Amino acid sequence: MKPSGSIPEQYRRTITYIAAGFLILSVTLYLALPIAALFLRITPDLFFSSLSDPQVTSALWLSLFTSVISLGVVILVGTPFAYVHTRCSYPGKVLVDTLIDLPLVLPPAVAGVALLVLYGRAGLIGRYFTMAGISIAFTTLAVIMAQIFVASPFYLRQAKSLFEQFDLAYEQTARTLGASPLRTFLAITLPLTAGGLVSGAVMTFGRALGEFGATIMFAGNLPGVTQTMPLAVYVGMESNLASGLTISILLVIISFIIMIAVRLLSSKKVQHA
Amino acid sequence: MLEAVITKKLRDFTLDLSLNVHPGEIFVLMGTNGSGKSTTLNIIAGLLYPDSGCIRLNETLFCKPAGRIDLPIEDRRIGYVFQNSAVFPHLTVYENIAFGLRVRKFSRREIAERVEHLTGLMELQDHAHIKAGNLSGGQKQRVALARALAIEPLLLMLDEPFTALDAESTCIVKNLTRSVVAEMQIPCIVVTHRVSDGRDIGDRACILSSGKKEWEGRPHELPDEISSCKCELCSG
Repeated sequence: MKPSGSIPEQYRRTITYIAAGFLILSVTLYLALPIAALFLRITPDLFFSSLSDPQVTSALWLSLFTSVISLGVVILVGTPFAYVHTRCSYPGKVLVDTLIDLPLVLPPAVAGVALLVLYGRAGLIGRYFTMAGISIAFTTLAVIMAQIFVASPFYLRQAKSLFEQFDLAYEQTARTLGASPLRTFLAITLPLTAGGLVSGAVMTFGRALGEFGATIMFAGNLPGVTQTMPLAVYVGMESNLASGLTISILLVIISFIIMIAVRLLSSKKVQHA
Repeated sequence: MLEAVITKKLRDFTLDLSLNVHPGEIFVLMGTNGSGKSTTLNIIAGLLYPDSGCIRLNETLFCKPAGRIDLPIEDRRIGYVFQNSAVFPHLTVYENIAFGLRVRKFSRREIAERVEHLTGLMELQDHAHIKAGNLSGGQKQRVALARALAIEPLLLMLDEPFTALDAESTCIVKNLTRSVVAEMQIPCIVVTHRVSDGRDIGDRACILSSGKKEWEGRPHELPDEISSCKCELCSG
């Protein structure tokens, strides 16, 4: 017997559907509307003409150049580091683990200040570089260093997780068959974790491309030298709105492509898993 | 001949074992999960280092902690088939079997000849160019066995080779193991938790319990009280 006063089943279902639809729609709109507003705020003609603006092209190429270099360094150093870190036990490993993750929660501006007080002209290490006639802060190198500091955890965390989950029997088999540790890593471990590593690399590239706070603190905002796309957006919003919007749209497009790439790579199930 | 005296402190007990395996003989290590069977194989293979003891295969000293002797894994020439077969899923059957030969810099012709012989022996000719990740459990186990045999090992070790196999594949792998061990005249250790497998394939067997030998003898001599007791614990 139905309890009196209860909502009939068909209404209850309708209310559930409406509530779920409202929830999905509101979250989607909250995320999509600002992006849509960017595209609606500028005409296609103005967008394409701004693409040839020297400030835009210079920021675009500098961003791509520094992000590619940062990514290369992170992959070349981060892959063996993550592997050794995962496979070896050493004192202070937990501390190193925490340090790897720290840039993820650290405000980028703080990261920039930290880099500045270490590598700046009067910094702990920077003063010796200055004495040798080398300056790091406020150069393109500083942009790359800031990007590596802020973006590397995305790759390192992914690589660590992949190597931790990797079935050791594959490596041990290769070793008993006569392969050296390096050959085992290159012929077995790396190919079997490649999908996940590329996904981590794409995220790292995206984070490096969007880096703002640490860059402006440590590398400054010099057009053609340290003014990357996010910095050019900041400048554009004050002086030239069209170029600011154009760069913003370019960043949205690149970010969108990155996320699609990550989704595609993540959906490819790692064979050994 | 394999001669091993092994002592190693593990988390819950101390592995304390001595065993001799003759050429052409299949020695079966039985016991419940966590009794030290796989650890024994890993120590012999060089993946783990014992606290004390001595491991010798024919004239080659593999390891002797007292003399700080530890022959590198890749120089021990052991064919080791792991519990989950561990075939490399991104390589074809051919590439899997050829892996150890390529590492050891065999010529292309030699590799092709040896792989062809082994794929024929294991009835894998039709699958040579299929990615190993797409094979069935029985086929993977045969690839793993072929890959281990390709390097012409001086010792063969199989860790739970029948666990994931159906009755037909189990029978095939058992027969293949018997015939290659007899033909190559190498010592062979098979780890299993199933008494029936031990009886089928072993020339000699021992039951491990918390790292120590509880019983050793011919598999068919396994006393019924131990057999029935162990069957309760280890039948699969």
